[in-house]
Amino acid sequence: MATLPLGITLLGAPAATAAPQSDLADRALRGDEAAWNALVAKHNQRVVVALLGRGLGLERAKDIAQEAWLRLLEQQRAGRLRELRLPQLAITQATFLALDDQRKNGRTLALADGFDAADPAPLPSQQLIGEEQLARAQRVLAKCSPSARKVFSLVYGGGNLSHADVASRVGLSVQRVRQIVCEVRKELRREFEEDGDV
Amino acid sequence: MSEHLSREALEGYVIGSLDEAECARVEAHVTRCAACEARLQHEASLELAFTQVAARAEEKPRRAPRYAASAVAFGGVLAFAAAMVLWLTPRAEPIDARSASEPQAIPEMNADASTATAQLDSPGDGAVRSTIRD
Repeated sequence: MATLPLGITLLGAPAATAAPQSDLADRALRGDEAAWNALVAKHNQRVVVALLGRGLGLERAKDIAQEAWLRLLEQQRAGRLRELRLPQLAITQATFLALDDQRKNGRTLALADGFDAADPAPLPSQQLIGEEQLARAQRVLAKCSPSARKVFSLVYGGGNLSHADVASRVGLSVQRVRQIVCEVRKELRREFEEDGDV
Repeated sequence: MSEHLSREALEGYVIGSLDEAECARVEAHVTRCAACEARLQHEASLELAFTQVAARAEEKPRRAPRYAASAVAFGGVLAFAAAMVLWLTPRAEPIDARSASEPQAIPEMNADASTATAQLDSPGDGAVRSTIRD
């Protein structure tokens, strides 16, 4: 288990406090170490998974995720961090580090066509699948129940909600939300894997 | 080498539904098993794809109301303008039933498609020949 100099523990850290994300981000921007701990505990797994999804091995993904958090901390200490939108910012930072690693070591990173290294904004939503696959996925979603579509939208949409957040919004248990996620995933997976799209 | 990880375990890892001990078990296995690491990467790539799918699904409902609202607003402006024109235009004289039933003069067309010659009625002194060029 990796530990950052500030005492931030990566992966397996105690669950984040119940403070709202915006409150945590504000406190982290003011240099509150506990807030950084909570944010890392909450979002690090997403950063690692994003790197895995782009073809990095687990160990390398964990190292780069840790490096990304350190860079963000350095930026905050230097007063260069005015906004803390997570996990996008950490994923963007980590992807840049992975790209740099790729350049140095000749590794291949799964990036979309048209990725602009000078503009990190498109990273979280960059195109990894084509228009045709997107259209097919939309048709699969259309066949799901309205509540399943709602859960899918909240979990994978831009709100960065945890399963617990989603459960409280839709009035279901966390377990049921996860069950729905797995059901929708299964349908979409079948669609993607039929043609070997992803 | 222990048995390969189940799809449920790999899926649970990427969607964040595993507890700390289960996460550690998956990671410990993946670091020693290239096949399961590749499967984990595949599950993770699906997560990225689903994010893209959700983003697209969110775009569509947002676009429709915006266009619909614009169309309604534009339609309202047109209706108001039409009402104002009708209100401000002097009432027309009764139409002569005989002339109304006669067919309108059809413009003469030259062989040259770029030039059309039309015989237009003039309110003043007789017919005026008008030539329109594209």
